[in-house]
Amino acid sequence: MKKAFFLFLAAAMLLCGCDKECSVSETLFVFDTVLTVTLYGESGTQLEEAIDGIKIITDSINKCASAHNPDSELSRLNSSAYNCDIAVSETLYEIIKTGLYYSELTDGTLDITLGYLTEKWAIGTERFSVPDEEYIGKYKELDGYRAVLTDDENRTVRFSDDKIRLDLGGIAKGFAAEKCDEYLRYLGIDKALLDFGGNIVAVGRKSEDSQWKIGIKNPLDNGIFAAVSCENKSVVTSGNYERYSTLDGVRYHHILDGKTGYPSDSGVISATIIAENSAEADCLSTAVFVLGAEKGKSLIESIDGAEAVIIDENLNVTATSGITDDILEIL
Amino acid sequence: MSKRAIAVSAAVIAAAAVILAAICIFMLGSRGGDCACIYSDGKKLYSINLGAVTEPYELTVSGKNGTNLIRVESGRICVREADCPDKTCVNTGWISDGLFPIICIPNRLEIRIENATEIDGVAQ
Repeated sequence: MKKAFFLFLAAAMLLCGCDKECSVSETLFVFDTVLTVTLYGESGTQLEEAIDGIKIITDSINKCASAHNPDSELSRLNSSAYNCDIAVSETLYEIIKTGLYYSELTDGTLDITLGYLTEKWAIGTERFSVPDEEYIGKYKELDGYRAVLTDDENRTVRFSDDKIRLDLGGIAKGFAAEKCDEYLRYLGIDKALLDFGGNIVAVGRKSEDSQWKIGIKNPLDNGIFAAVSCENKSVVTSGNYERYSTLDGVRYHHILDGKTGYPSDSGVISATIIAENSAEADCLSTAVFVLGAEKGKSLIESIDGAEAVIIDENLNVTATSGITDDILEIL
Repeated sequence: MSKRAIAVSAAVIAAAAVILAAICIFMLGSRGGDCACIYSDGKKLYSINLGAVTEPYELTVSGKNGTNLIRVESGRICVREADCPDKTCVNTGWISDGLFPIICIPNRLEIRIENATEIDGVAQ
């Protein structure tokens, strides 16, 4: 009888697969958006603790890098760094240095000093207004990111022009997602899906047999235009539908072209970057959106490990050479 | 192994397979339809089987800064009224699949339809 019992147990275990994986999911409201974090592992307690860690990471980055919060470290820096070396936290310094790196890499197409413009436009808020030509002309006279001077040894930041205002909106979410990804790997959590307001980080694989399948929103409606299969990648899209304001029948989207001072008019309405680093994907998606399909594709082809799917206003798709048929599926 | 032991093993495996199949059929049969989950400040308040809704109804959720009036119909759900300033949640309209949630950031409300699609996340 005992033998039969063990045989039954063995058979039941064989049939059930003994799957010990569990998952924990949490929704957080940070960065003026919704973050959905889903972690997978064998210990529910460990996953719950990891969620708490993610809350601390995202809260601290939001508190230091928010341009909308007058009490943030960034706001204090913006109001005091003209001709004065201001010591900043390690986190803020790292975000600024990363932003400056991509500002230079993209020759100012992504520029973290757009704050002077974004404050005035206030697109997507009740304060929205179209700046006059004189105001925009003043911005165009600035040196942009080149007017931000940093000192690695003393961790200080200084602006060489009084109109320089940093806006880290094009990088903060990606930076936070990257830090959370690093944190999860440090904890040994090798399967997770982080959705930081549409910035996706796919940690590990969905299963042994399948990769994660990340949709790219149709920029013209509420459907899914395409899907990207990936693992250990971040997928970030910049689209003209994300945030906008309308005045006299004209729609003004929130991605400004620093060279004109107006919302980008490159013909691209959605730019998706697939890269290992979420901060990189965040910065490059904005840059490609502003550069346009042809120049954007050339930029991404020159960067190791990054790929792009670019959609123009006629829904034509331009993809980089690493986007093969088994990665991208047009739906 | 004796013939008797082999016969017992075969019978046990067959019985286990029958039990497992019955469990699977029961679970699949009870799924019904897509499940709309309503979260307030990250905490799940309601889980509604949209396929089982026969009569439309409404419910009010009080959030951090105000309230949202939610309408539930067979297979779909929306926010009908809200006292938030931007009305993004109301303007999202009806949702009936798991692709996009309804979000009200001021009131910290989220309505998400779960397990409805093979897409794991949406870059937007």
